Amino acid sequence: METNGTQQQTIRDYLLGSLLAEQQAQFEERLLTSDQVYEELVIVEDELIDEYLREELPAPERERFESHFLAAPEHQEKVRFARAFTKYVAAESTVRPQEGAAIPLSERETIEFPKPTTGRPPKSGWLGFPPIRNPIYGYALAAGVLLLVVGVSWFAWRNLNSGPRDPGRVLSFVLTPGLSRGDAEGGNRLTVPADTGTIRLQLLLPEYRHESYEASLVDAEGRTVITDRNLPKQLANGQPGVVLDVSASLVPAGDYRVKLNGLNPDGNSESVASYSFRIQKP
Amino acid sequence: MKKDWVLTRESFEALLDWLDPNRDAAALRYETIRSRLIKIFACRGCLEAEDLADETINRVTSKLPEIYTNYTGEPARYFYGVANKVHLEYTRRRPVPPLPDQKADCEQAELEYACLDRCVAKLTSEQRELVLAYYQEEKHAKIEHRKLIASRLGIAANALRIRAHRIRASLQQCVKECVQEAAV
Repeated sequence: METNGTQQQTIRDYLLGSLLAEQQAQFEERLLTSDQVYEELVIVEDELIDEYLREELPAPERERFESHFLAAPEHQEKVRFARAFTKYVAAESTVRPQEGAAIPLSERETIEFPKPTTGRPPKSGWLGFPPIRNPIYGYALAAGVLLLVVGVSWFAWRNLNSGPRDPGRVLSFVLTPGLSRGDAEGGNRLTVPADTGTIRLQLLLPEYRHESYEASLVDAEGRTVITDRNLPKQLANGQPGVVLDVSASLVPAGDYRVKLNGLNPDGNSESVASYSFRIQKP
Repeated sequence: MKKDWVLTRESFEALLDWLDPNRDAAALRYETIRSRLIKIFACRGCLEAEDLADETINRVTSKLPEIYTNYTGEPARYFYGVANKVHLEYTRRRPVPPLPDQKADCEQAELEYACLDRCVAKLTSEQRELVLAYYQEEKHAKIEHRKLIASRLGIAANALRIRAHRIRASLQQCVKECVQEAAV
């Protein structure tokens, strides 16, 4: 039996696609048969989304979140809702005090907190700040607080609207295989403007000889930037190819290489092609 | 599944019978299995999670005559085995995700925000205060803030977490319906 903390970690790993195949199968069977596990999954999903939107996820989890979790339209929909919800809560919290309402203890019970005189919390209650009796000081304080609230709201609005990981513009490039790294000098140069969110690489192939394909993107130092499996097949100009989407934030200017492997039905993989290119800023 | 097989009323009734002899319990079970299959396909990154869940259910239904006599065990596990096959076929023809339409996304976001405002207004004042209070802080302040709310309510932190989540989930459902109504 897992503790709450262990279960939540398993769920996070599952949502980010980080569980091993056997662990994933065990977890999914429990997900199908246990109401408690299902509800916990949906809660952790919301918490993960909130952390993502507030930029609280560590870099490796953020990468998994974008490449795996956000692949499903259902999850994109949840993120869109969470973005609106976060914005709404932030806007409301600037005008609402935290106390002053009844919060349900259970379906029938409530705990009464001290209530303001009107149903809706007063938005201009600052003037009634008890120690300040002189109205001039009261108005001066109110003006200062107003400036502070406007400033904070503006800052929050900017942050929320810019979004931590907006999909941004999608730029698509067709890459031909076989160019060596040196060839990237005059070959595949991809000019990526700063507002680009996703770089879509269409990797051309002579033919589809494998059931599925996987790709690793490595930088000039040989470090793996991302690995993606089961790449979608798509014709480009009538020629066979597969598609690899890369978050632009992961690839600063420099030389890169995509190593493409084909997977056989027996599970073995073999190298199919490699594609070299250079990312440059306009 | 045979290519010409189609889901009929009779075969669907048979599926419900297999899930539970009580019709209401069977319907609930069916909905539970379907929603969890959708969740599993979505968590595997599938673009058409609902279609894949329905395909799984159709295949199980088409095999009912065999299952009735040969299979003993939790029906959900049988669905899971079939879902794995459906998923394997999906990975072989994995469709290309559509490019995001930023203009539409922006309009959608505005509509959702307006709907959210309407949906929050439908909550009871207690629910509204709880959900706004629960989600308002960030990072470490959030943890302390939530502990404070839970202690004021005299409930465990996890009970508060579940309660806040349920209100949020009801808001999301309300917003979804509101957006769909606006689209009609």
